Amino acid sequence: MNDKEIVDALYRGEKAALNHVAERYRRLYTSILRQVLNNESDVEECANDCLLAVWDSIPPNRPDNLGAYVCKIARRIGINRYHHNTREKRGQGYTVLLSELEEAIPDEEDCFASVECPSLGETISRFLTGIDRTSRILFVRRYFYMESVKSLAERFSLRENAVSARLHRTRRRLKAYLEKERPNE
Amino acid sequence: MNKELRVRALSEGIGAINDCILREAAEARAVRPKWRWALVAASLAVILCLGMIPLGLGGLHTVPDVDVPDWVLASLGEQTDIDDLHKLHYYGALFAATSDTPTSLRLPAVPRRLLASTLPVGRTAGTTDRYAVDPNEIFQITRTIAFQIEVEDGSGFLASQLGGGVINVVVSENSLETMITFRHGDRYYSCLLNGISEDEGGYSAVDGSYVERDAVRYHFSTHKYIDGFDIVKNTNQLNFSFYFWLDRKSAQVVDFRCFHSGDGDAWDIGAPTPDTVTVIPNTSMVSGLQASFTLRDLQTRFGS
Repeated sequence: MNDKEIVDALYRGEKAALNHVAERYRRLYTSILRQVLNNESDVEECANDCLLAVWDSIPPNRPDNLGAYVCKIARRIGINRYHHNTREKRGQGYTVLLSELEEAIPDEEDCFASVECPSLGETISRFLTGIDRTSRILFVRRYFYMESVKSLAERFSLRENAVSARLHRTRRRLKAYLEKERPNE
Repeated sequence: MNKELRVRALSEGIGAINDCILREAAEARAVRPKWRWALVAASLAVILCLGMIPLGLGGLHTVPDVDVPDWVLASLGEQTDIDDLHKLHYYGALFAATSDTPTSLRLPAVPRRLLASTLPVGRTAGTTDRYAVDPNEIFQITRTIAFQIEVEDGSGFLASQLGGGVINVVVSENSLETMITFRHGDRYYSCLLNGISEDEGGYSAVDGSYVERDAVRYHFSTHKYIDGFDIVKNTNQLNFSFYFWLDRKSAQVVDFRCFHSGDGDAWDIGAPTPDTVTVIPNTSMVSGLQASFTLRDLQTRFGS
């Protein structure tokens, strides 16, 4: 069953299609959740929530790219759980990643004040389209798929320092881009 | 808006990155450390020395890792029914060469089954053999080379099969035999390996000039070709040889030539001639990633 057939089956309300979603994408979305949460029971619970959210949202949604759709849901659920846990002083997995992202935010306090999430997503997408492929892939795998620097280094046969340096440069460039582009204007 | 909220907003913005960029990153090919190549090469060298498999020079050299060319990405994004061995090989090899995603179709490896054991060996003129490949069996790709060529329109063999223009070429070592597939739009032509050899350069036999080269030369012959799901050996027909040279250092295909080798019937007026071919620079991809799959798996991945 390909992605389109899975989405069609979900649209028709066939619950068995969820098994195909899990079969195809479980490894991907659990790896995202694991990077955010560092807690296996939370990961398992959020993975189930993720499937439930897919079931609840199709229909009305009919995603063209099921993989990206599932990952976005998993990421959102994982981050929500992270914030819930940190309020209760549980879990730290996402903290390092957020501290890295601090380098990429513009200095002005109101920079994102009236920005809708999709609009900022479009601005970041435009920025990423304009940079070299390796930097783009490293950035997306690090900050969307939440892959560790060590894993990225192994995957792309780079030294960890080289990955960190490249991510650092990309964050600095993103900051400059966001300051220039001002997504809320 | 304090810093924490701005970082959270940025993180949410990253969560809304467009799907094309997400897909590109998710499907990004892992680069294998070079020591693994060395290990594979050493193992192959030992096996070759023992005479257990009759090919593999292509596996002996270390190949630099390269990005996946745009034309390969375009092919991977296509939807098509896998209804013959041309497509099974073309899409399967490109999939294997680039696949390191959770949707990988990898299955346990199957033993190499060489066609030499099923088709008569030798070049006896006037013989025809046909071997039907079971499309449901597991097909294994162990090494892939992909590149683009430009074929001059006219009476050339490839031009008559596919039409002239830019043609995608996919070569793989696989569980059947080393195979080359040419694709132009919806038209395919595939044939099988005749031999692999080293080319370390030297003085040209044509004009005496010194040719600097450090490449592996692949030689394919139209006497063994693909027809539907059959592999056919037919020495009754005109034989064309395709040679290409894979440069070791750059991992790019640097030359491609087509010859009429003289086997088969006498040359007829109006019969195809050797093609005039130019390699399109910087379109090559070499990959040692392996995958095993069935036609059904590929149909699920690419089927329309």
